[in-house]
Amino acid sequence: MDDLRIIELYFKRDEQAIKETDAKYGKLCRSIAYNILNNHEDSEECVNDTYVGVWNAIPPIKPNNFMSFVCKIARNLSLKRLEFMKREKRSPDVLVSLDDLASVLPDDRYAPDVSDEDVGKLISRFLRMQKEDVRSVFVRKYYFFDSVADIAVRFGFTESKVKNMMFCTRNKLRDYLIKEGVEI
Amino acid sequence: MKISRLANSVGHIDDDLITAATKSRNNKRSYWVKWVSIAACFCLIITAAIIMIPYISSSDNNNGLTQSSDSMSYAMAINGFLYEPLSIPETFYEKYPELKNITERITTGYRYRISAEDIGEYIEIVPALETAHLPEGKAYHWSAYPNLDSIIIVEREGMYSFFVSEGYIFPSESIDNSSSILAKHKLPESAVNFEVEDSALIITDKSVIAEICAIISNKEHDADHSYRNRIWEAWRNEKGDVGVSFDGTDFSYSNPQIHEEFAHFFAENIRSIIVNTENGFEIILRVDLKYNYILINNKTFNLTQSDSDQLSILINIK
Repeated sequence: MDDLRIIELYFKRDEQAIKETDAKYGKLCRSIAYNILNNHEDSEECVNDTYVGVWNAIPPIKPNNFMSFVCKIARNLSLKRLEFMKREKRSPDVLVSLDDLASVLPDDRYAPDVSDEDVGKLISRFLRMQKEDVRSVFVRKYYFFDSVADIAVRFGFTESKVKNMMFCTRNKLRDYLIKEGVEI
Repeated sequence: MKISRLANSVGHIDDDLITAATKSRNNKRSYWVKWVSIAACFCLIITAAIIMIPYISSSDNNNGLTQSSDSMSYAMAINGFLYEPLSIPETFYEKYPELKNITERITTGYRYRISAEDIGEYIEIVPALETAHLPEGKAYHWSAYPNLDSIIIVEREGMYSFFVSEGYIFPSESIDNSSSILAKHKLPESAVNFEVEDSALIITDKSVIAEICAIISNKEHDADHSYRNRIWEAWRNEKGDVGVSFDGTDFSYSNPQIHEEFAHFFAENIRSIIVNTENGFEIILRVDLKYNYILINNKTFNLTQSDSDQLSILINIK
């Protein structure tokens, strides 16, 4: 079923909308949640919460890009749950991807006047200046939190090449953010 | 502990970037064809992966040469190998620890000024890249490491920058037989050692290295992704036709548990052999001795059962 039809079902408050969303994007949501939480039970709960979130948001929102709308909700909920798990000391693992990003822009003390949305726009602009595969590897790693091994298989690169690409892109991004006034 | 701010910020990137990344996959081949059509006369510059990294312009350079800026940040084929703008692999530092200081200064925004003393022996012309408005340039060895082919200096329009290569060979179409890769790397003569990943085994015995090279030479290149198909068929034979589907390029999974199980199934028999050469290249041979193939430069070469049996003894795995 195409996305517009699914959105129509949400507007009609038809619960079939959730089944269709699960059929089309459930796998993607589960992979995002699992990549972040590394736990099937928590991931499944996050995916269910994602559907609740989508159900509550549509209407009034009518997303232009339904897939990324669903992904964003799944990602945000998973990151929130991860934060909760860390606070509760339920997860001993700190994801490497998050640490990588922390080294680029550590925390709220830096550029407190610039919102996350604005930084997101800067990152989008930065990514558009990169070659397509560099851009996609970055998004796969830091948006979808794919493992280096999965990215290597996906793009046909060696793992060391993927690591190098990410290392360079992070450094370049850090310099770009500094240039744009987001000091680190 | 809070999730880093940037992790949250990445969540706000534009929708089309997210969509593009879900559709992206290995498109090396079509990418190659595209470049051939655009720059057919520059047959050595087939692929160009723009990897923007912080090359620093230096205006207050007293005795150094002008460093390149972003305009040089294109991958390029030099002497038949793919070189990328300076992005030194961590493993490189184990061999050349003194480089770490220099490269960190470049990549973290400090200045390393390439000076006239750095320019070593001339290697070859770097063809122009018209689509990026880059004129012809010249490649030189780094005088500090005159025998190293893996890190070089490229000059274009009076601007200089470092480029590195792991030993990836271009044009990849030239790799129709494993022997062409071995010959290009002057193996087995140029081998310093063969490291078997995830084990303590480092093979330095020249006769063993020669024996391994002899086993993997003269192997024909199989179809792209054929090894994936092979693993998928093995999975179906063992587990039945459920859980994992394959569209000829990518796998998809019915649930996360299956994904995890399949990833383990896929990887459990693969061993990487890292070949270190005396000119600084690091070539990764990924061997799967259960399903009889070897991946070199992302190409699948078939092994016979007898090849696999001999290799498993030489590299000391089950």
